Amino acid sequence: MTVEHKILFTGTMGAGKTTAIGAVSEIPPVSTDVRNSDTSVAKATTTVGLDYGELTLDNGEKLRLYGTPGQMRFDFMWRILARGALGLVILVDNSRPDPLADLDVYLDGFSELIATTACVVAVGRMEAHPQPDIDAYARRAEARGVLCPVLPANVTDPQQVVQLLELLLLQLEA
Amino acid sequence: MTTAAQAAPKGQRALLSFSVEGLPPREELLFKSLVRLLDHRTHQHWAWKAGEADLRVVGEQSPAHTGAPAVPVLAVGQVDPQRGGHFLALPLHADALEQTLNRLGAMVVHARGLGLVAIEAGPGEDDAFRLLRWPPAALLEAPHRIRLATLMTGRPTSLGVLRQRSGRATQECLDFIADLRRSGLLENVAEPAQAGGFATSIFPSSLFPDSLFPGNTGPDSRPAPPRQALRETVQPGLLARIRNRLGLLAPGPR
Amino acid sequence: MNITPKINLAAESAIDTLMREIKGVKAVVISTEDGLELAARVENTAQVARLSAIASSLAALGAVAGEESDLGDCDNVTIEATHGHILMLQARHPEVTLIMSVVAGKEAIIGQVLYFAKQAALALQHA
Repeated sequence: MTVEHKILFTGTMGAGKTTAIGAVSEIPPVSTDVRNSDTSVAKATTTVGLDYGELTLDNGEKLRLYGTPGQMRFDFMWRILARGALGLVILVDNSRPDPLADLDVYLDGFSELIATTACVVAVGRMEAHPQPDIDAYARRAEARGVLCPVLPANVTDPQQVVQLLELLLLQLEA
Repeated sequence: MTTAAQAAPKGQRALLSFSVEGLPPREELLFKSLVRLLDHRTHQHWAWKAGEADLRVVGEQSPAHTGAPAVPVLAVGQVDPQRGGHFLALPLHADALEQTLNRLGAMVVHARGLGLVAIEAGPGEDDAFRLLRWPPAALLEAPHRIRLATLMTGRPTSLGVLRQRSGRATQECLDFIADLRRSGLLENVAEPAQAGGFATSIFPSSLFPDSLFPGNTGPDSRPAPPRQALRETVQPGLLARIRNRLGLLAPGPR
Repeated sequence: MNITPKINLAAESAIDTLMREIKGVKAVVISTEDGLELAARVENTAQVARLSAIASSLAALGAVAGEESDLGDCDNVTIEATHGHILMLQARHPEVTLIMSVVAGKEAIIGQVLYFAKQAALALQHA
């Protein structure tokens, strides 16, 4: 039986979960996107199940990349997908009205996973939206008892997604 | 307009502080704003600090100060007090400020290098400390610092462990630790740090009902771990394989 | 959510019908395909707080399963549980795709549930 390893991507609608997975996956990502009926967010589609991508390691084992739905009503999916994950990438969109509050949702929703494995917070769209800055995110995480890397990232760039994964791996090393 | 002075490969700029006294509120605010605006061009990173700083900026209303003689003073005002020191005329101009900061910054960095300015003694090999909060962007300009900081997000570490795990030179580690300490982001820890893995960690089964690690959650099991402490042990070789697949170089001594 | 009144009315009407016609029905929920509840009616103890979101995930996963197996579109997802069934069907109205979830207890006859639910979904599609 193939041993499985999993890394999870989460974040709000439009933060780039599907894009990030697509940037590194060796298969075109499988997604469960449907039409978005929430008129407060200008996005046509939204993930309601999961995004899926994978990488095959040199011994045949798979590293599976899962993207979760972003909205809180899908938190049952968060719990299901979090089981046994090696680490979590939280993608935040700095162009949203209150990105720090967005971060809170995922720090809380995945608190058990974060306490026991690796986590990294990637903030997107910072060039056009420099506030809140990295330090604000660091303090917000600190207020929730979380200490993890926080950095700006453009997930359309595969190298930057790879860097996020590398920071997860660094945390997992003994 | 002077051109931006950026290092081509991203190095870490020195992090310097300045205090302000005796300037009218409007001028003080303007001075601080200009320094922030010029941050992408100055050779060092400057941040305002209350109390003791690397540079004292003094206005005409400042009384004579008997402070540390090694701390440079920048006088700001209408008229050069002609005390033979550094001076910036009002109204403030960005170019003049930039040049002055670069000159003074170089002096401070040089003095640090010569040991003329008192620096806190660096940590011993095994002195344990922990990172309190992810550092702000200014402390992480050099890419290797992001990796160093990441290695510090888990259990408390020490200079020796940090150097071993990162494969970076001692001076780089010391410089980073010094910057962190100056920014109030490090806390000393009583027990010595260990380089070993989490082989003895107890993994409470209540966290993951279908966990692979049946834990002890009886009344005599260990108390709840501190927020950073518990990480599951990872299958040996897995991380190396994932790195390999992602095309990443492995860390560690070269 | 921009759901036109006629669809809302049709949804309520569908729920009325199903609650009336299906013996042993516990709850009927109609929601958007991205998991937002549109209309619901619940008998006594049945809890449907998250059913809309769960149904949307299941419907989406059902669609993936259908595609991967090369069997075409997923028409419905049926869950057989110890004390009854949950049936989730898609109602593809031109304006919006809805998901209709029917929760039925042990005394319900699954064939009957399917029949009435499919009728109701069809009616909703043509609203």
